Amino acid sequence: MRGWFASLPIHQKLIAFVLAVSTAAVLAALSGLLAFDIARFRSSAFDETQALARVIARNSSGAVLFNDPDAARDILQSVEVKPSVSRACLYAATGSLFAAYRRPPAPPCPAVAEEARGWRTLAVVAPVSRSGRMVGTVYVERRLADLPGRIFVTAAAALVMLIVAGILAFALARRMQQLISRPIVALAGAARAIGRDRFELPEISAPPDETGELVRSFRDMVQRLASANAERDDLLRRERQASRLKDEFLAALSHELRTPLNAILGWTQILEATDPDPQMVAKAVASVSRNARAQSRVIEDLLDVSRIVTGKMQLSLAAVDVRATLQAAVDVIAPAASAKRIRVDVAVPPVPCIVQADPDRLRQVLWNLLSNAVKFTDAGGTVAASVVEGEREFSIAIADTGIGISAEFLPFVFERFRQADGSPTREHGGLGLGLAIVKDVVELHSGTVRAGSDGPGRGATFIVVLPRLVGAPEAAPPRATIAPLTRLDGVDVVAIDDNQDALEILGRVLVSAGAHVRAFSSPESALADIRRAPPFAVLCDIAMPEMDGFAVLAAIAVLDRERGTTTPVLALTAYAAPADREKSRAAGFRAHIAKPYDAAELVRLIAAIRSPSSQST
Amino acid sequence: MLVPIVALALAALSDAAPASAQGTLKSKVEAAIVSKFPQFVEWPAGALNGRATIDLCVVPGDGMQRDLEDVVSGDRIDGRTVAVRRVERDADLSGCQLLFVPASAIPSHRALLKRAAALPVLTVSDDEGFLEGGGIVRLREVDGRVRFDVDAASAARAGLRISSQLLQLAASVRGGPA
Repeated sequence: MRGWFASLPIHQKLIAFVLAVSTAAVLAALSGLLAFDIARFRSSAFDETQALARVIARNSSGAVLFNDPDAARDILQSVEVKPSVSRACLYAATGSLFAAYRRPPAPPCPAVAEEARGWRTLAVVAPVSRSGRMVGTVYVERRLADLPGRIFVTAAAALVMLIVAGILAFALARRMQQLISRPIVALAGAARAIGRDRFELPEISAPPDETGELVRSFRDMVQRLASANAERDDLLRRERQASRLKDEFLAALSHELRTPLNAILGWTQILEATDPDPQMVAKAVASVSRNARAQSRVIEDLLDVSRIVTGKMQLSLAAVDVRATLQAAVDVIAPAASAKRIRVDVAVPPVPCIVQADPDRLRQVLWNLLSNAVKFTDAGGTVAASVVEGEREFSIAIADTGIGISAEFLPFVFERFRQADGSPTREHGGLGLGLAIVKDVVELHSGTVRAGSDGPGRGATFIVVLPRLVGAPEAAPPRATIAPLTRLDGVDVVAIDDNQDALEILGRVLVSAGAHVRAFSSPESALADIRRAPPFAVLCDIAMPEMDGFAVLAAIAVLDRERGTTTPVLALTAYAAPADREKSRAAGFRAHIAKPYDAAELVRLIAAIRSPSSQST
Repeated sequence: MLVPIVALALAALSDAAPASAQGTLKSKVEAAIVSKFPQFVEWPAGALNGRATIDLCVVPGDGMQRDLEDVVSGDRIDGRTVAVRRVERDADLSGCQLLFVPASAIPSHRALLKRAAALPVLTVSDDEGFLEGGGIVRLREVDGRVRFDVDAASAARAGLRISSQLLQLAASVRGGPA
């Protein structure tokens, strides 16, 4: 029964509810009415009978007193007009029956007159008195034969009312249940559709009550679900693309690292296997040097990206003349450009263009853009570099007549790992990091960079916009642009590295700069030597067996305290992560130099120890 | 024929005092009936004012006084004691509510009766021509039973109201609506 009811559609349930409730209410009301009617009928029948008995009692006192049963019988006979009265009896004061009336088939009068309220009969008793004395008793019995008929009639009327009320309730319920059921049925349909991933919600009209609230909440929910779904799909697509880009990047990285390595190893093997003539050696050294630098740059780029991504890139801001930086960058790529017979035009304003920038980073940006321009421009083309003065900013434009950029790729040129041609058979090398680094570095300088192209084969233009430095000193020392030829003549340096090759190279670099070098592969012997004669500076590897760079640093610090000296110790290590830099700086190293290092930079760093504003790269 | 009379008499006497040895059965029944009359009569408002008794007055001539005294001994009507006394002169009439005159005493008491008719007194007699002479209730024997006739007009003239029940029980009622 319950299962059957539970499976009914909601509008039928509502109708059933209303019918059940109204039927129950009408039934209860009618039963109450019937009960009340019966009670009232009985009560009025009793009152009536009692009144009759009293009238008889009043009229029959004389008959009793004058001992006239005939007269008494006459009086009793008068009840004949009331068909419901079945017996009327008159008793003398002694209790003996004095006179009687009975309507057949009623039995004779009872021996004792007693009031009774039965279901079939009512009996009442009234005293007969005269002059304050009781002279007898009247007993009148009334049959309730008419009661069942009355009940039947009332019940029949109740049944008719019940049916009418039921029909009325049904008609009303059928109309009114729609108010509730229609939005719910519509919602159920919509929910089914959403179960099949269809997120369009049909218009559902609902009253401004809880049903309407339900519909509105449901609509909100569906919209949120739909947008979340779309977002998820979008995220998934981007995730897949990012994953593909990373795969491509790893392939490119592998390629970019292997290609120079191949040249280096090749030349090394040739030099080992043959008896080389000086011309060949020179060629080999040039090739090895070029390829090692290329590889070093790849690694540098990677580290830059890592710094940018982790937010650890630090700028050494200074007032910089953009003209000088641009010229320096142009000077660097000039040999490569002339090798490809590409003309490089430079147009700058005649006045200083001062911005606040890290000179090295700014040069890196411009060099990146320029080398890209040269790389993607065919022989005989032109690269134009210019600085345009704006009211609040300087725009540095690098334009080329190269292969250009397709409109589809244009929006993505500055994205990391993104290359127009990601296939393994691509024509142009590179990691696809250069422009990403450009964009990040420019933005670190509160500047913007944008790319433009009229399409493939029609050249490309990159414009870097940097804010003008207001109230800047007229001319800033172009420290980065003019690298002074630094020498370490007569400087006493201790070099410690457990790797013999590294120690050898380090020694040669320092000696070639004019330094006096004491090289040790064992930290213990180095410390003994330092104790004997304190050097100007110590260059120390960090990862060493038995005693690492931090232990050496600590031992030197102990020596310094004993002697009251200050010995700068520079860390020289292949650990190049920002965390490693931070660690060695915290430990007390004066500088952290990552391998592979640039010989000139190393020399400059040692020389810089003399001045208090020493830096590390 | 005698049985109903006996039955009626015994029933009427059942709540009365023990039966007296004097008097005939008929006179005893008559006394029983007369003793009930005051309960069915309403006297004018002033007639009973300040009275502690209802006086049933009897003109001597038969055993009525004696029988009546036996029947009403200790009776009370609406708080008043029922008393029986003898009346022979006009002066004795004052304070009487009921006057019984035996048929044998009628001729010698015409003046008394005439006097009584002007007072609120229920006059009762077993004289056959009593009603024609201005009396109110006449006792007579019908089919061996003692019955009574009422002259409602005379009662009205005397200022008495006689209960309809009494009139219903009467063998005959004359003198219009009462």
